Amino acid sequence: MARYLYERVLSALLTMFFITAILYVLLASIQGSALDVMGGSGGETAAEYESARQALGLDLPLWLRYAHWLRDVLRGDLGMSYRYGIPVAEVIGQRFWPSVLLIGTGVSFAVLLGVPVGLLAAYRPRSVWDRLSSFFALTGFAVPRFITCIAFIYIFSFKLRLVPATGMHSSGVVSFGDLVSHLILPASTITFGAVGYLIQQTRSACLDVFHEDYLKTARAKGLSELEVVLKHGLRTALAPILTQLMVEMPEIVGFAAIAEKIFGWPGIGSLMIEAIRNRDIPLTMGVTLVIATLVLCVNILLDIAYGLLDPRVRYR
Amino acid sequence: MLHRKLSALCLALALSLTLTACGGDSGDAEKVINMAYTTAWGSFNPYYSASTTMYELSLYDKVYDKLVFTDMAGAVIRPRAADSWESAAGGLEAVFHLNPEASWSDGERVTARDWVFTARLLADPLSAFSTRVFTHVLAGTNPDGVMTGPDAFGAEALDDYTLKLTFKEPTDPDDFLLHYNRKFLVLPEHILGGVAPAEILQSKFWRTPTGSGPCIYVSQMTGSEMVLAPNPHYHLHGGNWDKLVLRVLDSASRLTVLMSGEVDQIELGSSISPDDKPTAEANGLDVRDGEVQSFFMEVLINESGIPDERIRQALHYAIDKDAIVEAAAKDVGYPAYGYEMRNTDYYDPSLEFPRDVERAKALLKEAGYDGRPYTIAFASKRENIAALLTQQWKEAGINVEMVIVDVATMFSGLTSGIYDLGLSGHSATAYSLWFETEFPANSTNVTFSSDPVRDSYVDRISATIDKEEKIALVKEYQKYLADKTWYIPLYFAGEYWVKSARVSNICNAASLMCNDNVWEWYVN
Repeated sequence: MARYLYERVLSALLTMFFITAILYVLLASIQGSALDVMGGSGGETAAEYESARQALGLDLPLWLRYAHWLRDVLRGDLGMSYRYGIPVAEVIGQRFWPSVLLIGTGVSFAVLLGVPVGLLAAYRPRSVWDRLSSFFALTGFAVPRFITCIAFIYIFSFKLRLVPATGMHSSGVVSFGDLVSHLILPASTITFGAVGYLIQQTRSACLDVFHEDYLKTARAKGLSELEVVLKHGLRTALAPILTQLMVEMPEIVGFAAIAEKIFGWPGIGSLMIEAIRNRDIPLTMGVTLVIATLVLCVNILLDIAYGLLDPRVRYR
Repeated sequence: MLHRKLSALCLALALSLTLTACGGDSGDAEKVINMAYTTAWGSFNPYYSASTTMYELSLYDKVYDKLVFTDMAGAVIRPRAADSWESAAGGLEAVFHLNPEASWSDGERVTARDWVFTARLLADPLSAFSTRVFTHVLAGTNPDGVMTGPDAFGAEALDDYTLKLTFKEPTDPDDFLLHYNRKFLVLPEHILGGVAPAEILQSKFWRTPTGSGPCIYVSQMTGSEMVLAPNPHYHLHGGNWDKLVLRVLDSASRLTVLMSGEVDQIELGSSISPDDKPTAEANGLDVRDGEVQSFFMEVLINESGIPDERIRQALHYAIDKDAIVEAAAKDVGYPAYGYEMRNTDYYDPSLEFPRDVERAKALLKEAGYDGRPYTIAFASKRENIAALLTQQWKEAGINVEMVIVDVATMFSGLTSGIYDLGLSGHSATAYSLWFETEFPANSTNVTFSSDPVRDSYVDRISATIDKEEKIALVKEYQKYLADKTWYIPLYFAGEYWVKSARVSNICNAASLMCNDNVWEWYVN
């Protein structure tokens, strides 16, 4: 197990290196620099432009800029944001936990809804419930994410006036209830987007497992139906479901960025969109580093969870 | 059994979601104005970069004070930190009489020495600021605005409340204000005076600034939300709000959040498209037609890509500007043939470039146009205009391919020669040379190559104090630009301004000049 973990972490570090190197080159290759983006108000002289370019280090060769960035990161310094003029770590620090809260809530509800619904659909295949859940799942991944956000705002915030559409809290209000009411819409769109895949995957995995002989044996031993399905059936089916969740995770993070932007939720996803738009390379790199680290950590944790869920999986 | 239990679980989850949705009443007794920004602000340091956006300028405007308040695209200039001002020494000096009541948010008085301190800090050779804003026009500086000697520097406090600026060339004070007021924000000498100019960027002052503007900084989540409170020491009064909350929102959802009542106003004029006007009105929003038609749209031309003047003129003659106006601005726009707005003295009604496809074809033939396709780059929201233009150019025999990019890519691509044409919008002002400030002489200059005649016009117009003489010169310059066709003016447009009915006394037009009469805003 320890050796497996060691190899996984090493491979993760290598992956991170390649991700950051490729991203840095891509970012530097995009047309326009931070100065071109920020130049909306005009009026600067050629000397000022050049001075600003040098201050941001944009006059250095690409490889040297990346080398400087990597050296600083290894020293624990993510650099200064071009745009905000403050350390990248500080900006990310402010925006990190709102994202964790949003994605955590959205994914948790997706699992809490998707797994039972998929399980029921598999338990009663071709029933009304099965057809309804399939329709719901299809809708979940067929509707473009952007449209889901706008539609949710229009229906639940504007028409029904049930929940606020923007921000993380109301002006001057600091309460748990207020936070939850602001969280509902953005988290629901993440749930809505992720739950379809989970329903389908749970249904498919459970259908496979429900025909296994060991379930018949469990029933023959006199176990209750609930025990048979949940303890023996679902536990085995959870491994492919976790795989699906793992595969979906980068997509969920990407979708969360869109949701954050539209709902004005102050997370790192919307921060990254702004950073790319502003050609703020240190900030984009910093956010990418954090997101990539998280995704890789989640993958490793899920890998470990496999072993706990499925006795057939052993780490060497 | 299992089926029922799982169904109950699903039902419980759905119920918990619904019940939570009903919680969290956000009502409060404070008079809060919620304002949406569609682009995030950056540093709180107004001189951090030469390249501040209009969104940032409008934010700085709330915390730091300026000499004057400009409205109606600059046609109206009202006192702010300066009560009055006059030209002296044949235009070489401008004297500003400051309001003696003006105070910093910590209660200290703002004096002329603070204004001089700010100008000196900008011009200091060791200053870490990336911009010197306007100091290159002051006496005692080199062409880059660096102070050549402290004694000859053209900013002086005649007494506590009189500021004198000395220029290198005769300058109309109103022109100076229209050009530089939005970026000349006063800094406190009593706080920053002890900071070395080379270390000014590292000062903690920029985290929680002390300004003399109408608002006080309270808190922020970087790039997402900022809370401001009214400055109790501000010398101008009239509003009744307690808190101003600025939130960054996606532009796609701005009308919906306005209609839901979560946002009262959108920064920079709070405009919506003509198509959205009926929806906004039907949902109880306060919609007004723009009082000033200052939004200017033009086709940028990369001269190195299309060096032949005749081909550039053919591009211009092929355009049906009335059709463009109808598609983009409906009844709040008019075709543009020069850069000056109708409501200014510089507007020249005789300047025209009517559509003439036959003439465009003749010019192309004369220039030996070989049918090579040109590329026009534009942001996605300009797609309808680009589509119309390419159609009209096609009718004249000019092939143009469309490329949708973001603004930074467009400017960069035009500068590097990847794109031949671009579509760009600006906020025009009453300043006679406003368009020159949009594209200054650096690498973002995509429209002008070095042209001595043009430089001569700009210098002469800048140094002319006599109004009639200046008007004549500007009109002459407009004709010259039209002949050269370095860029093609398309139209001027007003905007439909929309806001919540619960707030009033907002000068939307002033927002476009990056200043808000926030001290007069009122919560009904």
